[in-house]
Amino acid sequence: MPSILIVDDDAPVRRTLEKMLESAGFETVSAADGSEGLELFRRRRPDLVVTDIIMPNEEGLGLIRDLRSEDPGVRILAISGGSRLGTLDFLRMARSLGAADTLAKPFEKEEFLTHVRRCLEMPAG
Amino acid sequence: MSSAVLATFGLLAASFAFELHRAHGTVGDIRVDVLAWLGTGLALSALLMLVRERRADAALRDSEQRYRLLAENVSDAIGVLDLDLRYAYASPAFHTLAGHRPEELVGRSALDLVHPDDVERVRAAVEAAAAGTAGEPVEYRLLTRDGGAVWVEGSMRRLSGPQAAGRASVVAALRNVNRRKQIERELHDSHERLNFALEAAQAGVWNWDPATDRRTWSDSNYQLHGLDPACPVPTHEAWLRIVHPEDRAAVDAATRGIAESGRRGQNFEFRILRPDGTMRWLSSRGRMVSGVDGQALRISGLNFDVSSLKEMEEALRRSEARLRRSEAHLARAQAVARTGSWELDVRTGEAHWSSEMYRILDLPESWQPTREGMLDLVARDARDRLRAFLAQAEGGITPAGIEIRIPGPEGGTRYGWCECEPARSESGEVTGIVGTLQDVTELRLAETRRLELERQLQQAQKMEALGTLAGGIAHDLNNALMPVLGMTELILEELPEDSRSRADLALVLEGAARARALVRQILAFSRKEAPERRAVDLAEVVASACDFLRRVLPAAVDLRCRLAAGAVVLADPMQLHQVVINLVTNAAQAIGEAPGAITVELEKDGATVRLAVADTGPGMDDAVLARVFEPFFTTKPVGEGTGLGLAVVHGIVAGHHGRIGVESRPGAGAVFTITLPATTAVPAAESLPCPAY
Repeated sequence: MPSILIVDDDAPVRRTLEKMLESAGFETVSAADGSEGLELFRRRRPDLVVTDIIMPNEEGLGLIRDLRSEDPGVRILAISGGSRLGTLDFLRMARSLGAADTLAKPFEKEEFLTHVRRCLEMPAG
Repeated sequence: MSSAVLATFGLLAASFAFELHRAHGTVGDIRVDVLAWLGTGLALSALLMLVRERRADAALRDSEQRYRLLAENVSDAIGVLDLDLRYAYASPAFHTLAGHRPEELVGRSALDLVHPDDVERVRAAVEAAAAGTAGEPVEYRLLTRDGGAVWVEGSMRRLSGPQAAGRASVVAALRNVNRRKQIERELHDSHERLNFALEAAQAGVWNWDPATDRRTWSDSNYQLHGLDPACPVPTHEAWLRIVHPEDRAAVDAATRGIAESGRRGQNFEFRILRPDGTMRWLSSRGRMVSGVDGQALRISGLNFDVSSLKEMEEALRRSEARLRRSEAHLARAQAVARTGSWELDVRTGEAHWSSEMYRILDLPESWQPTREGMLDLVARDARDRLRAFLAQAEGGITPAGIEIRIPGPEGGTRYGWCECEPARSESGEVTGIVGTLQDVTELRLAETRRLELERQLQQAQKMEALGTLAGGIAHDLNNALMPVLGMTELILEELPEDSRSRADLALVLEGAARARALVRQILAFSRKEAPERRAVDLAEVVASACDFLRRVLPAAVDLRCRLAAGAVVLADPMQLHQVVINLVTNAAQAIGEAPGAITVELEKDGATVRLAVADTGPGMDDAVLARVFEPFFTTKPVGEGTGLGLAVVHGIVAGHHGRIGVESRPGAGAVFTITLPATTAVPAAESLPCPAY
């Protein structure tokens, strides 16, 4: 089964996402911020990275940039609770940095899995 | 002249001889030869002698009587002085002349009767006469019997013939010249007074006989010309050379004009250059003087030194010029400062305004301001304040300034700042009020605009803060909702179909869904679209805007659209939509309530897209055209236009790298034309965002 790395600073969110993915048969690993997420990515080379954007320490946009420079073929699904703040549209920015897809929180399980499967079906890079 | 006869007899052996002193002063020798007869012959001869002597006596008596008669009947006083200068004879006229009776004078020294100051002159004259060298008559004061003096002219002559040697008696004829001396004195006084007056008036008298060129000048005229009175009077030509070269021809013509016309000349003024180099202004007036027979004698004239007057005139002229310049400066300063000044006469209620007052209040300068008129001009709510303001000044107090509202003649409102103070007479009485009115309308409007901008800025900042706050809340809420929504779903999946908890968890899901919907509403409120440039078919944008405008424009306005296809530009469709709305709305407001038409035309010309909005409104003059895109510039009444509509249009067009222009003239409507660069990109098939109206 494809493995998926979850990066989110919010533990309940992290746990919810893990359970949603595991219920669909995916293997998951989780990290609480961008630095930890990058470290896990290097070690585990997951098939997909699901990352939050607004996080303490290393935030999601930086992580996307670092992941792309580490592995240009990485598949990333960016998720955010504050998809727009003022004039800033973080999900659009994440897409322009190389995220394959984006999804605004909160979302339902099926919506999430649809986006995850679509990302996994995309060719690497 | 002498009437006295003195005879000397000499006896000779055979004859008698005597001298006869004649009345005219000559002495005749008469010789009587006696024949020395003896006896009767002697007697006859003696008789003959006696007859001759008697005849001679008679002739003598006749002569003496004639001269005495003469001496005693002429008005002159006649006196004969002996060698000691004593009166040997005095005629009765002495009584008339000086109150002396002749018999009192005989034997008295003639010099005793002479005024002490004149004694020496009289003595000299008498001595000269006695010596036979009599000269001109001598004028002196003869003392009168009553202690006074009378001016006499004394003619002294030696009584004996010129052939007599040594001193002789003197006959003096004294004539009363008191009246003449008085006239002379008066004439002298008069002359002195005239000279004094001429000097005081700095006036010079001149006379000129053009026929002979004989000229006379008064001393004062010499002084005027800076010349020595001892010099001869200059000829006409020499005098003209003293006259300033620029005035020479006119002066020559003026003086000759008098000579030729014989009339009284007009005053003429000219400059002279005096020998000391100074220049003086003279005013001259001459006239022809005629003799009793009407024959022209000479031209007489008066010169006045009017240099001081000229200097004063020049000073006055400069002062007036300065005053006029000051007035012009003041008017300019008042116009620049938009401040008029006024004076009110508290006794008559009449006022005087500077020109700027009329301009500020839009009144013709023929309007006569009064106290009541000024009160009527201001808005009703300001009238009592203005009345109290004036009353304070009238009471001698300088009131604090007040702002008044002045309704304009055409509905607008002006704001004026008034200051004033009492004007007092020398006695301290308040006779008037002087004050200023500053037009602060622009200031007030600018203040209003500033307040509006501040309000807008505050509003924008408030919205920004609210948006940021809402975004932050939304982020946290969304994260919080994530496990609520997700976990509930997962639990529901795991629960048996008949579990009683399903219904409860369904409520949790419903609540979470409502919370999510609420958060999305908050996000929509705080959302701000980033500037967007994409290929847009402008015809669609314009058509959409016109559809909307047709619903909101007055029915009398006919909105026509002529839209060419293929006018594609890289643009923010929302902003271009706004441009069309603003231009058409502006055109409709220009047309007003009257029927009119607005034509929106779109065409593509090569690499350029052209959008034109034309109206049939009243049009604009050059002054309005020059400012039409300025922010806050509006011709609409205060409160009815922000003056931002066309400024926004201008900003949007510039932001799209386009250009906007306007053509208009009064009475001929207006055409706004926008040109934008066309693009070859194909517009996305997307419905236009619905603008929030």
